[in-house]
Amino acid sequence: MTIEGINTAVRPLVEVGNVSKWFGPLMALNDISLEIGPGITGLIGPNGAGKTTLLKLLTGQSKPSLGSVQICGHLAWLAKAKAHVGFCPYGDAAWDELSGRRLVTVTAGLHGFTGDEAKGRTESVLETVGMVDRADRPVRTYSKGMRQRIKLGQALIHDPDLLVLDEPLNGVDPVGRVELNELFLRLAGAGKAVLISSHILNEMDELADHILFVCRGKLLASGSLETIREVLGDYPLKVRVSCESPRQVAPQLMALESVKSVNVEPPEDLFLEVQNPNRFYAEFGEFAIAHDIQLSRLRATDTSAEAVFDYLMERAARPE
Amino acid sequence: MSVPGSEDETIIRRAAWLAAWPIARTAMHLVFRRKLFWVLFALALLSFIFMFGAIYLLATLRQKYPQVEQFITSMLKDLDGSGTTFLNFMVAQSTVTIILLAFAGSVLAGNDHSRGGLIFYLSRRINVVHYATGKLLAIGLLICMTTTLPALILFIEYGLLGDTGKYFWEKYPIFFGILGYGALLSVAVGLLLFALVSWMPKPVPLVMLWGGLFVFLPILSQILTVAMREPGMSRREAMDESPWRLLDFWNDLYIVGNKFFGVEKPLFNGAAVVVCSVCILSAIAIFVRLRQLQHQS
Amino acid sequence: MTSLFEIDSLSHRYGSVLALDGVSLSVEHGAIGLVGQNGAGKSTLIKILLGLVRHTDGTVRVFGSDVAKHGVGLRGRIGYMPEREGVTPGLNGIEYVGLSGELNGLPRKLALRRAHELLSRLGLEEARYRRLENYSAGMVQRLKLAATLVHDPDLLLLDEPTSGLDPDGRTAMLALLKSLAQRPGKSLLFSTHLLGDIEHVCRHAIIMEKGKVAASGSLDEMLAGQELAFSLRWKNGNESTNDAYLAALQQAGAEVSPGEELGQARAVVSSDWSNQQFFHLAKQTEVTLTGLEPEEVDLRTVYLRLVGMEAALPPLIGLAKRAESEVGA
Repeated sequence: MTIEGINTAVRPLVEVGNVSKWFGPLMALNDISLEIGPGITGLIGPNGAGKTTLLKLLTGQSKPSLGSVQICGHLAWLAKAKAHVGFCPYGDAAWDELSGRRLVTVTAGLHGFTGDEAKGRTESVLETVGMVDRADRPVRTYSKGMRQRIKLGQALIHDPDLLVLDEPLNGVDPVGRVELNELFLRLAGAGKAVLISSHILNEMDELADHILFVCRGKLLASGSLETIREVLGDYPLKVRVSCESPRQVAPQLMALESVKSVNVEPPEDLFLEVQNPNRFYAEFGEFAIAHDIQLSRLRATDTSAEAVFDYLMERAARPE
Repeated sequence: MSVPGSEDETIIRRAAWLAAWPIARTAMHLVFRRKLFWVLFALALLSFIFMFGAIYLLATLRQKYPQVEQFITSMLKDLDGSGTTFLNFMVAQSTVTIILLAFAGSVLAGNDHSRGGLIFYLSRRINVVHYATGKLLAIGLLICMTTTLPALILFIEYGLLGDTGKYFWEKYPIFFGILGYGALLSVAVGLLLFALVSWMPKPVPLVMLWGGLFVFLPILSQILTVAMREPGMSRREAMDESPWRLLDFWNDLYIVGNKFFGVEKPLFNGAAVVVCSVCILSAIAIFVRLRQLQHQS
Repeated sequence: MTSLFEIDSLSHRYGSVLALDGVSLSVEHGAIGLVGQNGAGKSTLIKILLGLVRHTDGTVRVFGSDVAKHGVGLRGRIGYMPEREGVTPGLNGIEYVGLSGELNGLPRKLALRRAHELLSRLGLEEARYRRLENYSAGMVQRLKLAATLVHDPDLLLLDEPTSGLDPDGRTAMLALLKSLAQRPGKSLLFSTHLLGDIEHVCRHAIIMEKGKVAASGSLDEMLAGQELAFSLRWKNGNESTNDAYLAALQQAGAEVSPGEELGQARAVVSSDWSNQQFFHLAKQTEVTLTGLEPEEVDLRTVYLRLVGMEAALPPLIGLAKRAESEVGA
């Protein structure tokens, strides 16, 4: 059973229709259907789930055994489709004796840009990724973070509509992470579809509008983090409330209809399980107005990407 | 989580030098894991098996079939139990040993240079010296296995099959000669190989360079010797005395090795100088490179 | 008990590069995080602590002994887990960990025994006779950790230990590191770009910038937030109710800075403010409050402020969402 959120109204850039992929007897992807549109989409899942295979299909490096992958209406492995896709792969690219600038210019050439246009695009792309003044040394002398930026530059050089990024922040220092995340947000704001495959879930919290959760070759959830959390109804929302006298407040909160259970954790915490979040917040608002409980904290504790990931994994482990 | 040994055992540490053996053992292990080396090694021992059989045949058939003796001695010169027999055997092993080392070099030490293997060693309780010692030990042992050890076995065989007591009594210096020459080979060739591997860890360039040293240079030396000999000198004399022969490193080792068997060869001084300088330069090259890598990784 | 390490006016020049510039630190036992940009001097510092690099100036003492003199011996008490692979292909798991033990001075039998025990504890029991090339990324990390622990070191130096691990693997590794750090007499220095990991495992942090120490101290001190500052989150807001709520708060005496998305803000209030007012005003302006939290500064914000890059606001609780995905289930 797949959890689905409602798609955005915009026409999807990427359409994956009933795709399955085998490697010999090993089934890497099992009947996956999804759509990706503009904005930032996070691709998450455990190692071995099929994420890399999916990325290969999207970038046209591999053909599905069954089903079709379409980018902007073209089949993904055709050159026409690849013109719309920019790929930033996980490992280190080759040709590390070349300078960063040269590498990006060569990539521009691969996309059919020559001469002045290639140079111009190179410079503007280098500025976008923040490597303008550092791109003249050979790539083999670069730190991981710098290599990531050059790879991003190569992916952006032909102004693609779809950016596929495999762990783009691998090895990037905290400042660089902020800069690059802002870059992704800007690109998404400009109408591009940015697909980020990452294990760093707390960054997904802030970045991704839309999450794709893949496990064991299946797409087990798709939608915004909020939607997915809401649909995981069998996991009641966990809320933490901090106030001065939790023991006194506890029975009062139990009286609220949406509250399923209350755990008292002295000195000041109450951990609630809540059935209907919307109802709860309304009820709690009234409650807080009616009773002065010296409240210092109200916070849902399991709506983060990490918590949702854990729930989804738990669900995936259960026999259907 | 408690780690075993933290509460109930105090760990007794051995001296750091003893770590050289695990390093050597692991390197040899990795070499012998590959089937290629079993093949090369078998080839290396072909000559040994041949000699072994020849000695045995000679010893057992000498009385009954004198023609056999003539036949065998015509094929294998100097099979007379003197030092030259074994010396020549060890020299003749040069080709196979060089081939074996060309391929083993990368596996023994070169693989450490990629994927952070070197930092694995150096971040333990050893330093570059211990690491180098371990690797040199591995290379040295490999050389022993194709030269010294078989020669020793042949020596013992010859003695056992012949007039045992008298033979060993008279010829025991040969034993030390074999050991000395073997040690010389192990040290000199070992240092050279390790120096090359440190600067050129990848197998293909290594094989090419190694081949250049041990195939190309000897050929060049022979050509130059013949071409540049003084008029009137025979080929043989030139081979013995021309300084161009010093370009052939294995030959230099042979000349120096002869000293261990009590034979003086012309060009000894030159050869000794060459061998010593190669050893010293190799050792310097090794340490410069390893220090460099230690700082880089 | 001597301190873990003491560094006095450490400088290191490599060629024309000044990798470390007058670093002075005194660090006690415990779990310490090391943060800094690439090139800030972190890896140089670690190598110097390990005694792999001879520093050009200053003194470095680990466990009270000078690293320059006793480098080899000290390494027997330190375990280093590098970021790069650090594995020799062709060996299997047991041999690798056993070799690590022997290199640290353990007799062979003991090294192998501990290798078996450690691999079992780290969940690699089935794979221990498999060759290293056949290990997955997560297994390689655990294997490297086993090789680091085999000689029971008093100090663990870890460089990006969660690299390549999926979320479950990361959680497991961080939990493991946390428990390792809590053993008495054992310490951990953890270098990573993932500041959240440091907050999870460590109690102290060292922030390096351009070869100098920008900050060093306990995390609790570094992360002490401003008193009476709160992060707010609410919903049922459109632009007008949003603004109305913010205005109402402002009028009631709270200093508000709106967040990047609708429904988020930071409020600084005075000591006589009652948090009930948040709810009153929410009801008035027809929004539903879903989050109220005393401001918790995270390490990322501290770090960014230190290196001169102000993030717009301290990170806010909850999710950053775009208006379109506000949907019912």
